[in-house]
Amino acid sequence: MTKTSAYTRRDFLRSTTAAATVAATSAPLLSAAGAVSSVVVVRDQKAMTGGNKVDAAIVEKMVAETVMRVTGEKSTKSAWLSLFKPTDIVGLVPTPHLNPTHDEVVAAVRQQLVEAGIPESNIRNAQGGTEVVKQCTALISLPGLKAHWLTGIGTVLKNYILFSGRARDYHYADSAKLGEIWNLPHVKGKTRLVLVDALRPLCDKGPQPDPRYMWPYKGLIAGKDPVAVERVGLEIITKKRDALRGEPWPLSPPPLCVEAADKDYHLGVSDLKRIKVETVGWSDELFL
Amino acid sequence: MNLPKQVGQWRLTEGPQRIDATTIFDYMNGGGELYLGFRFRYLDVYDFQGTDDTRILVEVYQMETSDDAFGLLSLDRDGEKVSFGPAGEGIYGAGLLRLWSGDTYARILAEQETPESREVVMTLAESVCRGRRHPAPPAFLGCLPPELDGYRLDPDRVSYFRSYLVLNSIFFLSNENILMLGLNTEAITASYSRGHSVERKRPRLIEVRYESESSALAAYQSFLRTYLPESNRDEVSGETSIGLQNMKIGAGETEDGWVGHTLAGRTLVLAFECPSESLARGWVNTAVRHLMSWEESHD
Repeated sequence: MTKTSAYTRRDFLRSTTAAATVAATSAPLLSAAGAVSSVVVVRDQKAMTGGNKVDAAIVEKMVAETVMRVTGEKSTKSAWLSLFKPTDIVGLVPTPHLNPTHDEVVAAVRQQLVEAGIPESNIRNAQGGTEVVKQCTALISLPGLKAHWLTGIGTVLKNYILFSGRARDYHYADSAKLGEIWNLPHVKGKTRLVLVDALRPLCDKGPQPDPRYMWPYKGLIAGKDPVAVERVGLEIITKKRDALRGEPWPLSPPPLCVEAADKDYHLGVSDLKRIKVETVGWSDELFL
Repeated sequence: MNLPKQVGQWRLTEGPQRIDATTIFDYMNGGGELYLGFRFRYLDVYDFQGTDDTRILVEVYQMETSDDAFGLLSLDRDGEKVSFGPAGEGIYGAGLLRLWSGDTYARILAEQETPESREVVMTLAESVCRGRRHPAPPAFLGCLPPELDGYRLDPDRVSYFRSYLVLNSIFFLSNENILMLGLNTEAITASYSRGHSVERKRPRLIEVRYESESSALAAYQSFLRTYLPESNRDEVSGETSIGLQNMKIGAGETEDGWVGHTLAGRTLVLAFECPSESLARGWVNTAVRHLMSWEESHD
């Protein structure tokens, strides 16, 4: 019989077997010899209280630390100004609901942009349709870290799904093609920073909140490479799942969009061995 | 649905907000596909606010049939099992109660889990269930054999569904609908395990019941063409569907073990992650015998 163009479990298993063979001969993640992308993970044990309330002052410091580490600048102001000009129209793209990006994270970014000299009137909420993003000259992607029942992971790459104007197509056979949205003319090249809210991620059954699978990781994950940031978030989710079950508990469906964003859409690096991860702060259950 | 206006310190501040198939994506983005993958009618959302500024969210999903409501609960059974007598049953964990009561499925979520919020969640669940008739689980589940050569059916890993997206969230098969699932089919997947041993590979049965033998045959052909393209074309003849004696059971080796397959009337029977060809064929044979026995008693 002739095989169709569908991507099957067998195709996936063949690709992961090949990847595992390559990984077995590579350097471990944190040393990342020959790395070509960098990701920063900043955590603070005091970022949330026992009742999952966010400490805004701590989060503000974490955001400042994160942007300085990502840019290599010595001050918060110079860090933001190395990414944006005062003339830029900066679109913030948070997750609006269903495990939304915490308001405190968005507020800290907005405040620090203003303090750095970006006029408040130039800062927009660009999440939603295509109109606002078309007006923006620069974007900051600010998704919440979560697994997604349709795409495996529903964080960085999926955060721009509404910019496509045809979100539902990506729920079906096109779910691996989320990366193509980042190459649309009104989106391409605008994202200067990806900053993932990993204060309280969701490792299964997203996007609807399910507290059985949410935990206080109390972290921010950031970088300039969206695929590398997504890949590091995916690693954290995967390790948390295995820890919860006490045995391998792979995401289903597999997050095909991550490797496709690298190999098919050339948005960044999906191979963990080529990502240098810098970790700062609280190290319990780091999962990296 | 008559939910109380006040329970403990939580007061109903909003709702019900009626969500239907045309507005569900506005409410929950891609999460809506889960409910549209079953026979969904509408959703009512109730928001309770506590004096301590915490929230309890009640989502009541009205489905076309009790089987559909059961299917939603069956997708994840991790947690504490809760009975509401003859009116319903649920699974509770970390502040979230998921509930099946007749043709209703509900999620009752306390933002902060405390002994008090748990009590209120249960009180609200009793209100959802009150006066409802709670039928048995889908009859089709009766076709599952309780054991496959020493591997026992894990009742907490039995799921009922109609959509390939739902199947993929349990067991990724393909990014396309190669089993031709839809709202007019009913499907089950079940895992089998041996004792308490931690095994990476657990045999899995998938059985799909189609509206007609012709649609079942078309789905079988689609599966073989896509998933086992090296399989023998003879295995996909219409004759396979007539009785156990004439039925042919096929098997193919894949990257995660052997896959056994056959068509029995309008039911497609598949066994995945089997350790050998003989077990793949044997387990499908066992499943078909059990299916036919169930069909006789069911009819």
